[in-house]
Amino acid sequence: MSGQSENLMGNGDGLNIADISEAVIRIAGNSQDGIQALGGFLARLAGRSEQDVMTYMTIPSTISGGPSIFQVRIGSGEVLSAGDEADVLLAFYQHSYDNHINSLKKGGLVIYDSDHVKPREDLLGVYNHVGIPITSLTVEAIGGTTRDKGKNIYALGLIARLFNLNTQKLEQLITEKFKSKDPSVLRNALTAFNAGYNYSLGNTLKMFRFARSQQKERAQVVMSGNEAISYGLIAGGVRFGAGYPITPSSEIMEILRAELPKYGGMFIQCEDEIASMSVVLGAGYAGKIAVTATSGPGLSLKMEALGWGVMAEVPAIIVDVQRGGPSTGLPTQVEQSDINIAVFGSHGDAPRIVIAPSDVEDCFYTAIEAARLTRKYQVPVIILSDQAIATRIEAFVEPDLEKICQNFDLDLTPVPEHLPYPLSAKDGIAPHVPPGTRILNGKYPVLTGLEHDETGHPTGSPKYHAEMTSKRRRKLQALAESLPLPEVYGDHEGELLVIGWGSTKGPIREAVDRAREEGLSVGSIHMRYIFPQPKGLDTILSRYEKILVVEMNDSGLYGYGQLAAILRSIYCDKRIHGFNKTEGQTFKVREIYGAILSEVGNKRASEEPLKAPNQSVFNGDESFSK
Amino acid sequence: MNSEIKQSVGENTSAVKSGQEPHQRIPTDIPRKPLTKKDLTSDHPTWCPGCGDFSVLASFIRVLEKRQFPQENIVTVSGIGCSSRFPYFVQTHGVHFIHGRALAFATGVSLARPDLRVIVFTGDGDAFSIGGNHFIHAARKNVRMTVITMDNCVYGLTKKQTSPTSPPGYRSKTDTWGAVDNPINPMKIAIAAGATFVARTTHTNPAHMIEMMEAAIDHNGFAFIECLFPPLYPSVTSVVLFISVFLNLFVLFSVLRILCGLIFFVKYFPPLNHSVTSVVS
Repeated sequence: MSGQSENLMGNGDGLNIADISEAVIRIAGNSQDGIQALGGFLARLAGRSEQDVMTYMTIPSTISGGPSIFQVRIGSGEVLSAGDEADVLLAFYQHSYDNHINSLKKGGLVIYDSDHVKPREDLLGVYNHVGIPITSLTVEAIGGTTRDKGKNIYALGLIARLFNLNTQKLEQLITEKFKSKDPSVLRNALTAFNAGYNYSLGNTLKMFRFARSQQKERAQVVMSGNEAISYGLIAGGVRFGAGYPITPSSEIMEILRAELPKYGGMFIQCEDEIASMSVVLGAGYAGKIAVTATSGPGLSLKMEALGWGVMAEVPAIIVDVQRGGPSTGLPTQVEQSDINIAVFGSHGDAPRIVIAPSDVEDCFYTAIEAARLTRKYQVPVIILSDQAIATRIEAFVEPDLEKICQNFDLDLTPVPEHLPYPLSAKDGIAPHVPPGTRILNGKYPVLTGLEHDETGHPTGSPKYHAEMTSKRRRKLQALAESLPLPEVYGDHEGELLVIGWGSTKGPIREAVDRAREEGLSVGSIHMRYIFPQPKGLDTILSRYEKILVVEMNDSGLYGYGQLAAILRSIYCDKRIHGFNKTEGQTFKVREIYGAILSEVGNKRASEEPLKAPNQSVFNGDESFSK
Repeated sequence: MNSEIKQSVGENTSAVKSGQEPHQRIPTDIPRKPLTKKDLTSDHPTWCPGCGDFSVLASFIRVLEKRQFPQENIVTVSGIGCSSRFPYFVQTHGVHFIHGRALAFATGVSLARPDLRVIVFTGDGDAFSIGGNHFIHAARKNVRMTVITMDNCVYGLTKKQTSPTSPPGYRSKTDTWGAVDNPINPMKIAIAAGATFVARTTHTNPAHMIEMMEAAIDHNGFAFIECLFPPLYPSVTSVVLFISVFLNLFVLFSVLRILCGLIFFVKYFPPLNHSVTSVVS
């Protein structure tokens, strides 16, 4: 909590109102209670109010029920991560209370459902407890027949009151969400919301108000990573797709199946993962840019067809929303362990492009970039997203669609002659001639997975296998030359470089900030282009004494995570070390900060003890009382 | 390499063009000569002598020659197997995809580009073993394509292993004492999966095969033709033996027949002169 302007306004109600600049709200309950919807309302409201927002959620992989949390961090400045510790905890059940009370900052506020939760006596002095019989009040508000459905909306009303949120906008969001359902659902929801909002929290309880954030030049959009990838693909010119449902990527398929027909495209639900990859390659061959979205187990199945795409030089986009593996693994939890299969999967020498978005906004632009790359280089592109980005909601500046939209129009102009695999082409890159194009010399190509000569005719000749293998490699080498170097965050030279990729960007940057405040010279880069890597990355690496690769995967048999191993194999740099986590959860800022200290801060750390975490503004005020 | 036109267009991919239908953009001023068998044949097929695949190829080329579809709008798709070498032997846009997934690939081509005629050539192993799932679902979805399965009841490319249509008792390298499993009936599967055109033909009746192919290509939906022919597997010794024995027997029988004929003739139709002379004498 950083907003310290204690502007206690005693307004008409005699309430205390504190202006704050950010807050972390954790909502803990069961998965069927609709707490994702509750968190989603908060995140979307923040986005529409030009606040920066980031969320984090855990979902059990049971079919229905099981503990689930949703954490929203709303800030008036830039919000990089969902926050390590919460300011406010909303606990619906005893297990929610017991498991998450420790994630609250000292002196934080816990609102619990007194129908289900019995607070621990020893914690009453540590945290500010407010018990509200949410379940029975909800039933009271909307009628006994609905049981406790709608208590999430009731709790939303409580939070709206506590943080002085804009009720008009919230009611509009609720209306948008429920308008497609039965009118009574919407009526009940609004009743529950107003009942929650008007519940008397007690005149002595301090209220909060978010400081107005800076007026942004463009409006903000609020979406999850899966939504951002889907709309990015549409903006990137993708008009065809195929997929098979798999957690956590199904949302992409659901969105594209609804959206693509509006743009003259289509998305097909296939019989399996292999078929969806094959359909995508078929559409790519036919002249469309097509996408398939999957997760780890699906990516494993797609590998043979992906190898065909590399061999036959046909464009395709594969979105891999990573989850814990191997095998079925952790379907609803995060891990960054698919980098090896993405880069090296499929048999034979099969170079392909692998890129990884770092946050929700980047998901949008990475999808556009993927469409451009696969079209230009005629090779499959894998987008490595992960469960954490896919499910979290962020606000970002609305993209300038006029500027960024790509449109790949089918071109069937007759050509006098055509070689599908010309060895003389510059960097081995040749445009694809889709079927339907008349070839005037009457020699039509066959695209094949067999090793071939320039015409696509199968050959086992040693010369052609060597030259075609090199052609497929040269394309990516040419791409590597053109890629931009990652932006350096923090110190441009110094004691330690932290390298990350994917969803770890926010926590890494916060940890780097914290380390620099402590006087350490630490910088960080976040890799978007995993394979091939931009040329000249070693010039950045050479400016630091030590290099730490932070990633959510196992440190492996030889002590290096998957990206660290690739970096070591490329740059032969013995200073590269890894910091890994395989708990199925995102990194906390303090974990990365601890790793930075153990790399470079040993001497300092022994001299001065670690600073205690920031105190919450929810703390130390006498006005908090039960 | 390509013409300058093509290259310049290739680079200018992001140009937004008017929403013309793809096939309308082909200039009509480039004259078309009637397609002949020579225009439509590509490489010489590498199948074993006597294989029914030759008959399918010849019939297909006859159909193309007869119907005169624009060559560029035909896409031949195949998976892996003897039959799946087909696209190399026809002069059209072609794809040689991975084992069993040709139908899925063709689904992508057909749905992305309804202006193309997609014809899938596949074998019994490709279509009903590794690709069985795709067969069912392509038929169920009624995707517009023609599927021609060359069913010789054996894996020929990998040299005589049991296939899903091999009859029980069939001796192969994987079933040296004879196949034990009941074979798949492709007709039943196609009908049960909802295929909207199902036909069975054989290489010994090319006229029927051509008729079925034409009807299948004209069908607006999933059309399936099973071409049955007896198993023939590539073994050099067996082929040489077959040919040599056949030739030897043929020669032997011919010589015998000629001899017999001569004897018969001489016995029952003695030279006229002789008889006349004898009669006269």
